[in-house]
Amino acid sequence: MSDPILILDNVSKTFRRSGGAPVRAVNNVSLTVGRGETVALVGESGSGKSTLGRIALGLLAPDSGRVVLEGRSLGDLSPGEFRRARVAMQPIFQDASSSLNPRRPARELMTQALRGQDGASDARSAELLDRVGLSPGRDYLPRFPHEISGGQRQRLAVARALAMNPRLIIADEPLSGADVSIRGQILNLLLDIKAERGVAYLMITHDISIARHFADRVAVMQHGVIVETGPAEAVLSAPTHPYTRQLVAAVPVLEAPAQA
Amino acid sequence: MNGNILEIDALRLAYRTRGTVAYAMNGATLHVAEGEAVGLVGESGSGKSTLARATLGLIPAKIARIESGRMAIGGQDVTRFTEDQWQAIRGNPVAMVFQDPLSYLNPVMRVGKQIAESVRLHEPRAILQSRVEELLWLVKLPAAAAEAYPHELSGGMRQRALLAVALGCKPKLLVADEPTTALDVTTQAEILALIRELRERLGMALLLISHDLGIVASACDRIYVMYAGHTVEWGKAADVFGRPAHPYTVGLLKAAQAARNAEGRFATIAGDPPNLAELSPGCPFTPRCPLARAECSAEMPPPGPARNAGAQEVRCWAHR
Ligand SMILES: Nc1ncnc2c1ncn2[C@@H]1O[C@H](COP(=O)(O)OP(=O)(O)OP(=O)(O)O)[C@@H](O)[C@H]1O
Ligand SMILES: Nc1ncnc2c1ncn2[C@@H]1O[C@H](COP(=O)(O)OP(=O)(O)OP(=O)(O)O)[C@@H](O)[C@H]1O
Ligand SMILES: [Mg+2]
Ligand SMILES: [Mg+2]
Repeated sequence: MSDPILILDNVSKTFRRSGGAPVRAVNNVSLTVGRGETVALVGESGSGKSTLGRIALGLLAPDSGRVVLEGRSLGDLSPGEFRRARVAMQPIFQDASSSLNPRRPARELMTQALRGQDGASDARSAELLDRVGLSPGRDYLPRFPHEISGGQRQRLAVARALAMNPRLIIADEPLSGADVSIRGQILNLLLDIKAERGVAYLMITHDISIARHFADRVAVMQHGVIVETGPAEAVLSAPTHPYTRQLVAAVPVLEAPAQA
Repeated sequence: MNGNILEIDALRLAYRTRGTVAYAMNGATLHVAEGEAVGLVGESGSGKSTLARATLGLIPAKIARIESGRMAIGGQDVTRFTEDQWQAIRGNPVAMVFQDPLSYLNPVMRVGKQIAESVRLHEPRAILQSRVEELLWLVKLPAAAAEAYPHELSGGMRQRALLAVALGCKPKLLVADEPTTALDVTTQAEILALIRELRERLGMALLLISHDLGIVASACDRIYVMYAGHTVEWGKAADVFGRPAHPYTVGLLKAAQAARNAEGRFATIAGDPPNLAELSPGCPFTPRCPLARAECSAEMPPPGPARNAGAQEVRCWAHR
């Protein structure tokens, strides 16, 4: 593999709750994302996917192990260096409302993301909103996050992440709130941007079908451990690990309609 | 009382903020019978959450008002209810769980306390501790979760906590707005099985909103499909998903197979989403519709039986 954009090297994280027993959310996990590569992270609720995502983003310090972004270990960087290095990597969260400042209209959220880039303007913001299916983009610029629907908020978060021109996007359930047509549109957009700019993705998703068709590689997580990893298509179409088999089997199947 | 816990008839509602307007509901019609499980699917931004929030009187009058149409809960007309009147019925008979549990759980209150509060409002004489334990057990959270704060739980566990709060009200209708959207498939299946079990035990009706058509198909008796503030097709799940009638539903079902075509693209519905700032007299799907004809942009068709499909109702000129 070409030199990786992200290396998670033996990271662990245990949460200690007042009263309760400690939770080993992530247990000695190693995972690599190559430049321009798409890796999907799947697994049951509470298996540690979001925790691993937050560790990769540098939002949560691991108890042990290293996070290496473009050759630099995040733990060794000064806060200033960290802030600059992190621009290469943008999150898209499951809960878009948590990542969008509720007091800023879409216009300001987009302008902020485009700051310092050539051609930052309302027109550029509106164009990005159009591309994520918020069209006409111009009409969405004055809206505050609570003034649009759940799926529209998620798309605003996607547009904002793309506006920053990252080389790695770490997305935690980014499409679960959009209808299937919009989901297709955004996946196509992410494929285009990958082709245009060689962006890499770490996509945390519960959707086995998306993991299978969108990702190059998949990592399957259970109880804080990666239990299986390999080419997405191969692993998810013919799972060998019993847990992966169980995950794949749990997908409710929508029977193909008999169309007129 | 005619056996419908919820009746929404030709409801129109527009958000009006700072000189802009969004016609979020344009005549939507939807009924839920007592004990029935109804699914609501459709385009992002088509008004599903607006409809759901309206059933709990959760849309502040200063941003939007019901402009016409009618809504009844348990046979009682609530169309013109004031906030005080809503407060008296919120939670029982209708309770709701949302797609973003963190926004509805109190971040600084332990989960057990929040469940106890909701029980106390509706069952003043309940033995709180045992009801809280029972509700946690029902949603399959460990008893220790009572001591946790919402941010200490994973996405899936938070949704279970919110479900426990809603069930604490003993609702006759549970409105669930994308309750499993953020959950992995194993947990989705568990939560849906749980909701089914609760429905049977408590005779509770369900209005389930989801973008996951497979989930809606497996959990619901009847389905409504929404587009641009209209319910455009409704009927048995097997009819609506097995033999879709409205061209929007047909496109939606094609896009649902998240697989790539020969060009390596994921399927979408061509064209732009409707502009809700403009009110048009015709069918809002016309500009994207492969079957569009002259009358489509002139007038919204009335509901009627579908042709060459199942026993569903559809609002489409191609079926008249
Ligand atoms: N801040 C925290 N404090 C205490 N425990 C935590 C915290 N964050 C996560 N956990 C625990 O760590 C475990 C893993 O949680 P995580 O959110 O990473 O799971 P997940 O795989 O993303 O689940 P989901 O699919 O439900 O989103 C869970 O048991 C959770 O309760
Ligand atoms: N407070 C508001 N002010 C103005 N417009 C709003 C407001 N809230 C929602 N809208 C608009 O009303 C329409 C309906 O929103 P709603 O949240 O009901 O959609 P939805 O069907 O639930 O979508 P999703 O599937 O994305 O959750 C959307 O186009 C949205 O932009
Ligand atoms: Mg998670
Ligand atoms: Mg919604």
